[in-house]
Amino acid sequence: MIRRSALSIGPDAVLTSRGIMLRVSAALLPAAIAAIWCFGLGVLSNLIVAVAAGMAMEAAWVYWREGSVEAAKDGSAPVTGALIALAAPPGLPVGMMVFAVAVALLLAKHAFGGVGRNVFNPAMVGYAAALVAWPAPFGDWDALTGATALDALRFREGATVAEAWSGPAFGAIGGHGFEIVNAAALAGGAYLCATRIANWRFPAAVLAGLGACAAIGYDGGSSASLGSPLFHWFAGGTMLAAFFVATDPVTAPATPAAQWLFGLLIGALIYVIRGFGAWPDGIAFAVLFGNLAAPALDALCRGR
Amino acid sequence: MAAPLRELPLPGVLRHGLATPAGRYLPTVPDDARVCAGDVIAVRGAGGAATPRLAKECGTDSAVPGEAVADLLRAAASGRVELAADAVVLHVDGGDEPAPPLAPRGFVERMREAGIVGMGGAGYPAHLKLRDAMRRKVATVIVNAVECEPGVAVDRALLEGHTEDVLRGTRALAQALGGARAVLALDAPLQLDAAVEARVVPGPYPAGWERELVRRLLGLEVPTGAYPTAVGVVVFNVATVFAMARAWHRREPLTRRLVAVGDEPCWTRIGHPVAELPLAPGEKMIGGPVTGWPAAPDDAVARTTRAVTVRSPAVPTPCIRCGWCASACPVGLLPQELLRAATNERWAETGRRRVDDCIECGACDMACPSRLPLLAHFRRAKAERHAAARREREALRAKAHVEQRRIRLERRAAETAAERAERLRNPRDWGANPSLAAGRRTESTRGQSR
Repeated sequence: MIRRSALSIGPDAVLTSRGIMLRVSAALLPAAIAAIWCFGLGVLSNLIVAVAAGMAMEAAWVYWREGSVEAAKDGSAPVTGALIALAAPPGLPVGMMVFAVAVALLLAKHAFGGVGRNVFNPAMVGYAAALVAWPAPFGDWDALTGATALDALRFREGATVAEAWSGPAFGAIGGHGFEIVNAAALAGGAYLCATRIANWRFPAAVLAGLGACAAIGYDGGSSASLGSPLFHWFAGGTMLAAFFVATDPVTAPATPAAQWLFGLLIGALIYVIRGFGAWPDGIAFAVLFGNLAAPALDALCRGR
Repeated sequence: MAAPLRELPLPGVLRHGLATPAGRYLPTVPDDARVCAGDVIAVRGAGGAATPRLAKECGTDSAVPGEAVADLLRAAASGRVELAADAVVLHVDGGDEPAPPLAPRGFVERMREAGIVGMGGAGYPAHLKLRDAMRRKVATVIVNAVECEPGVAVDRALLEGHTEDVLRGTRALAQALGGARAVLALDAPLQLDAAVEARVVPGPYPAGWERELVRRLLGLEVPTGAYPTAVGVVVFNVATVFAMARAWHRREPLTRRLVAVGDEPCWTRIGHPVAELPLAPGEKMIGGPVTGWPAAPDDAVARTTRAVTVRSPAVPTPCIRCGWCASACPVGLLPQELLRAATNERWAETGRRRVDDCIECGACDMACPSRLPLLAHFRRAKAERHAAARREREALRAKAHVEQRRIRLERRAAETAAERAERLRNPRDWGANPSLAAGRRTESTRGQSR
């Protein structure tokens, strides 16, 4: 007689880390397709270069360190590459992209001990490094769409939000094209949260933080205000950051209260950098600052 | 009705381990002696004064000093004794004859003589638990048939295969406890025609953990560090109750138990070597594949062994701090943080992160997508902390000894100095102090011999 216990939890029922990464990759697909559709094949070339470079570097490093490429098959390198590719301007020169991926994987991840030991989100470190090294290609987001909505809103020279909105950089609610990419990322992210692969607290807190700051700074659209919460949620890389970057558990706090603070902090920083900083979008620096604060937030909230 | 449970054949060698969760047993039989099934071969307790002595001939009560109150370990078959460092090994030479019936005694005393201990895993002698429960006049006795670990199916099999024995045992137990309310705790509904209160314990794993069981079933919170008897409840595993029923109604000592051997529950002789159990190749675990312990090569089935399983080989990958373990933890620990502290051997930090509160249910292991052996790390951390605390206690004790010795020596030196000063002050008054007078005599004798 063979009978299993009435309880259904079993070791085999749970996803593996690799399974998690494959699902994250799958959840990124809608956003990637939307970005290719809106911003052209430059996004596709970004993705190909970044993912291929990421997998090659990961395999080479792991083979060098361990004599086998087995550990490189955990699916984390393609996710890092894809995140950089989606954050970068379309058609970024191959050299810059490879540089960004190399910084992400080799410096930010493996130099810190590999998967699970990195302090900063590797994709954001790589992206930020390339951004600082070559501000120009990142600054004028690209020739295809002209200035981004975020830039247009920031450098609109006294026009009201409604006047600025008449420019080509804007769509229905967010930046032109960006709103679609953000909606796609939101859909993929919702899948991750529903399957509990991503912790819903992070995107909720990021969006709440960003939305709250935007609501404070938004007065209905005068020349001094900086866009509504809805605009900010659907502009730039908001949803990508909220659902795919801030949810990286390695670089985020572990206690629930600290997780809320972490997300709120990132959301607020995105708004501050967008509104008052010198960079095209605040995502990378906001997340990196959040990573920096994560251990302190954990220590603050440990309690008991 | 379920199919009859398989009985494993009697092995050629039985190994009765002496180190048990409840303490160490001392053998009462000499090397190379012959014992019969049911003979007392080791005892524990009786103020720790159990002396190794020869058990009397087959069938008679042995006369070991203090045995009348000690916990007994009985031979599960007849054979020749070989004493090992931590076990009484029986080279089985007899047939499979049953042990002679126990003497007719009261319920508690019968349980002691049958050698019954907590068979859920704790191994606490049943008669001691019963005495405690009687002294505190418990109102409720829970018979725990909730599996210890998902994937292990032994309690349910026993309950279904021997419903009548379990129910009779439950009633006898309740009666012995002065008519306490008896509750049969289940993890899935079971059709029972008898008038026993059977209740399905709600909620997820680990519902079978004693404190959690009492909380979910009766809404009572057992204080930290106390037993359920503190709130008027006593919990026995269903296997213990079955053994009690056999000891009470059929006067059988405890010589075999139901063990989940891999997936299959089998009647197994206490002492059956783990290496000889019919198991698939792989890492053998005493207990479930998650919460169990890796079996040593010469481990054997003990009275507390509910399962011997094979852990499926899992290759751990690095922790990605997904936090699923924290969601799974019934005690609200942060296993991912504990793991980091434990792998870096920061034992003090594991203490700050409450590793001692870990109930070792293995829920974190089951949830981990990186297949990390978290529980094994936490057990190591607990052991290290335990050892460190003991070292510290010993160091403090040694320090206190040294300090006391120093004070003693100083005082003695001061006394001697005072006496000497006194003697110098009154050189004639030697007779006043006998010890000084004696000192004088010695001096004079020494002077003469020179």
